[in-house]
Amino acid sequence: MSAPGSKILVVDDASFMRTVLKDIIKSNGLATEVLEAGDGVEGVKAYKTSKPNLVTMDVNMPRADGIQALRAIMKIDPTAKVVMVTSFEQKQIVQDAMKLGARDYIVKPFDKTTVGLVINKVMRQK
Amino acid sequence: MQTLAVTENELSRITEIFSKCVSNSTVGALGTLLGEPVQHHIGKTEFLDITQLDQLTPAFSDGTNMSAVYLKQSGDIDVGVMYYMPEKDGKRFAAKLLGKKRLDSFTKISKSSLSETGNILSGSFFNALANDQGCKTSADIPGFAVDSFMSVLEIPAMEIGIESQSLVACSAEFSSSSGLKLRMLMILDPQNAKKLLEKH
Repeated sequence: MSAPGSKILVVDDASFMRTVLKDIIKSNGLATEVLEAGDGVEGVKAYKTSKPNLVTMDVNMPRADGIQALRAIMKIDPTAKVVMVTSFEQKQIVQDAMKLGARDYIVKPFDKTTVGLVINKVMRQK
Repeated sequence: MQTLAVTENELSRITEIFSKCVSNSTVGALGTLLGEPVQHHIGKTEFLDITQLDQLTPAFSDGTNMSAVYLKQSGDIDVGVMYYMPEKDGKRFAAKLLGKKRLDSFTKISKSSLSETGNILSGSFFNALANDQGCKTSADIPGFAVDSFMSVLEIPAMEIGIESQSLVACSAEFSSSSGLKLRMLMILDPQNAKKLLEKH
């Protein structure tokens, strides 16, 4: 169950994926508010203004991709909890993201249970 | 520009690579997306002149519009991939992804769901290709269209085959247990087909 006032920011250029993640987050009670951003630039901007408890970050996006956005967010807030979302298990990208400070990653296509478990685990981290 | 010939032996080796990556990754990814078992069938790899696109049969009835997603992969090799199905099946497919009973027309989110399906299937396919062949590529943003088969095929075919005036085309057909059908068409020019085989 989410803590009152907890926020998750979903950054993905595909509105379908944002909807799927939003539904999973809401149905699992992982956050009271789910914010959305359609690319890396919007994602960084949204992070600055709303300081969410967790960010799910797609890797492949136009304008700023997920790695660039992750780097910018970690600069703003080194304690940020970012979970990368990749459409395929690109080992190098996942390794780069983890080195930059991402807490975990989800591989598309994903099932609802896995997403719920990963987000719940990262939300509980300090 | 002189057209490179692609031999029957090379075509069957490409079929083998294509088949392996589809079986090992794409089928499973589609099954997970749809939440149901998926069967597949690999077609014959063809080498054809760009003026003979009509040799590529749509695998569905000719007179109907197709809903199609096209992506270009670039990197060690340049490849075009198109996923398509009859328009009405596209609506059924999107409805299933969105958890709806039916869809009367393509909305923004339903188009996004089909584009993302193309993205995910290509991601799994090219990840398998990278693991098996050491052939690394990255994807463009997918494009979605509804039109006749020849119209949706023309733009990617021209983009890939304009210089060589010829194409190598591999295809796979997927069918789910609830009767949803989807076809994947991978097209590359002869030079990139040979690069793929060199990597093998």
